[in-house]
Amino acid sequence: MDKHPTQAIIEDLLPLYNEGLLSTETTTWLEGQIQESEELQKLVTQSTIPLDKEEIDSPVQHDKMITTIKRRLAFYQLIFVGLSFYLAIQTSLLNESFGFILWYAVLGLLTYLFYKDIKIVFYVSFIPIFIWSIGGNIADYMNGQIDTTVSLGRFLYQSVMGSTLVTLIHCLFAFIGSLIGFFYLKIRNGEDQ
Amino acid sequence: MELEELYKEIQPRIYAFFFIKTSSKEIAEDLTQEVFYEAIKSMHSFSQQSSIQTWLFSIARNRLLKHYRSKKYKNQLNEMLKKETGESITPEQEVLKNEAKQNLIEYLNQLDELSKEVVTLRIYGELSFKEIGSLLGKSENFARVTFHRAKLKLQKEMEGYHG
Repeated sequence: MDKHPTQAIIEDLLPLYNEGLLSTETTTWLEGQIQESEELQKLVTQSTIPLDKEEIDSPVQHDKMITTIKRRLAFYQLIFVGLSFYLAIQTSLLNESFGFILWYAVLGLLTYLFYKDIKIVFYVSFIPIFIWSIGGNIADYMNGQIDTTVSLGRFLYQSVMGSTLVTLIHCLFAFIGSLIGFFYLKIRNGEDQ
Repeated sequence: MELEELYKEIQPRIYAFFFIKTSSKEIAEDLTQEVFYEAIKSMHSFSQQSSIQTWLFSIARNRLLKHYRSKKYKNQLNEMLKKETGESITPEQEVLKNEAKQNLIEYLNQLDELSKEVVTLRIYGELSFKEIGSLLGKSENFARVTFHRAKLKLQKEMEGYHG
């Protein structure tokens, strides 16, 4: 059977009434209606009683879970950094190899798909090759393969500038890879929705 | 409050949310762990526009949707269906089964999906109506009224049983 329209209106207003969000006029009208009907009084009482919540205890051992997660993430991070170092050693311009065009794009793609953060793609692709490049230059300097007339300050300046340039070229391809990852995720999320 | 302490405080609520949604302790436990794994991994994507708990519950909802699409879930459904159709129970077993059903979670499962979601997020997630609204892409009032209606419905049904 259909509810009386006034009762339906009052039922709709009750959540706002209970939280004191109704205007004074509506509150006065509503309270008047409630006083006249026993059924409405019961409804109001019922609406103020909290639901008898059944306790659900979590069996998850929180601290252990967080430690495991951190270990797992540190492990993946190590893999990405290791892979980046490997690529810096094997396929970079420092070895006069152009394989980096493909492999840094792959590195950027994988890193982006995993972390979904362009900053991390930048760190992972930038730092290892930069360190490797600077390290190589310093080793050359120590071995006397650099013109000895060049001062240490000038050598360091040129080394940092050169390494930055080489590194940025590699990062560009990692960035292209991460863009592919970004669009892939966009398309996939669009399909999911 | 430190982030890790906050996680610790919210974790049982995330577990309860999954438990109600999946009715399985094991799956709820796995999904809870995945939510925190995702949260720690993607901390950078947390925008200060929402609270940490709203953010965690939005990860939880996405993770649950993924679970519903997974093969594991479909297999689980098929197994349940097989059990239901192949099961013949005695009147005593029927009474026991009905007795066991008389709790809030069982009644909750009889609500429509949206009402169930709102009540679960409110009661077990302990979220505000504003947070529930933003999670569901609805208004604060929508969450408030939906919760209220569902609550009255639940109370009437539970009272009907007990009374």
